[in-house]
Amino acid sequence: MIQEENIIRQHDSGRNPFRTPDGYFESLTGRLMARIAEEAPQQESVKARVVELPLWRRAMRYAAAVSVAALCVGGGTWFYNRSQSADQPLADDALEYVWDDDDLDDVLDYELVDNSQIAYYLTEAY
Amino acid sequence: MAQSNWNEQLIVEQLRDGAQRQRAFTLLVEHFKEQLYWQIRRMVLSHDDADDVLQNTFIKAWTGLDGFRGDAKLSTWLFRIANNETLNFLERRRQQLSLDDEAAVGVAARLESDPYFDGDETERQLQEAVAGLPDKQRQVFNLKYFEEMKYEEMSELLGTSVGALKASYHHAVKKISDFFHSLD
Repeated sequence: MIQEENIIRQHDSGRNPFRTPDGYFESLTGRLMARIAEEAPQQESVKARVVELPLWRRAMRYAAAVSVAALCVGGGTWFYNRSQSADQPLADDALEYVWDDDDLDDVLDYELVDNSQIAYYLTEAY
Repeated sequence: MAQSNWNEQLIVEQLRDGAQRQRAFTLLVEHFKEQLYWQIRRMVLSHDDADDVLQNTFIKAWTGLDGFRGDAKLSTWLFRIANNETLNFLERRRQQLSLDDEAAVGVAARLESDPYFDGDETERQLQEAVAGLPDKQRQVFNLKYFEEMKYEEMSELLGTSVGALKASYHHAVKKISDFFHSLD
């Protein structure tokens, strides 16, 4: 890249060929501040104003916040309890159905499955 | 930059104080006006355009003072405003020129008739070559080649990684040297 930079420097006199009108920089600040005064007047420093609400309005705000919180908690609790109670019977029924030995014997009898066949299925299979 | 007695921290505090803001801003303008002007001028080329962009930069800075948090240097903050104003200006001019039938005047020809450019033909050719770069690449080239800015400082100003800046500068130098090869 040094070679390419040297090519550029061969075409560069090293001086700044751009000029400004006489007195440009000397007058710039004054012109600019005048323009700012006209277009964007000085902004007053803004301090945060603290507005004190009347007591009743403060109470209303707190009451509203408490109500919303209570609604969220109550609603959440209701949905949670509902989902728990709905699930419980089915799970118990399913467990009872699987682990009731009498029912299992009935099924095996109906299917004419005796002990020798059970042993076959368990040992011969796959 | 002007004024060896520049106290940035003090100026930042005064800019935050409504009573001292205008005086502090005047000092800020005095301190940065020339540096910003020349960075803008090398991009827009014309003095009148540079003057417009520079003034718009300072007006934006004035109206945006409340948004200056002080986590960057004033120079970085101002440069970013100037950079955005410059790029927006160049984009608007490009769109305007695309609608203008008389727009096909090259940079070198325009500089030849510019009363505030007193370079010779070689210098006009250099400006023509630089003006042919994409705007952001031209920005990198100007800062590195003409202002000899370090990549780390440039990275902070432009918000681009040092590696990307080096690559951008390398491509810019290659394009400009190829331009001069084509003239030989």
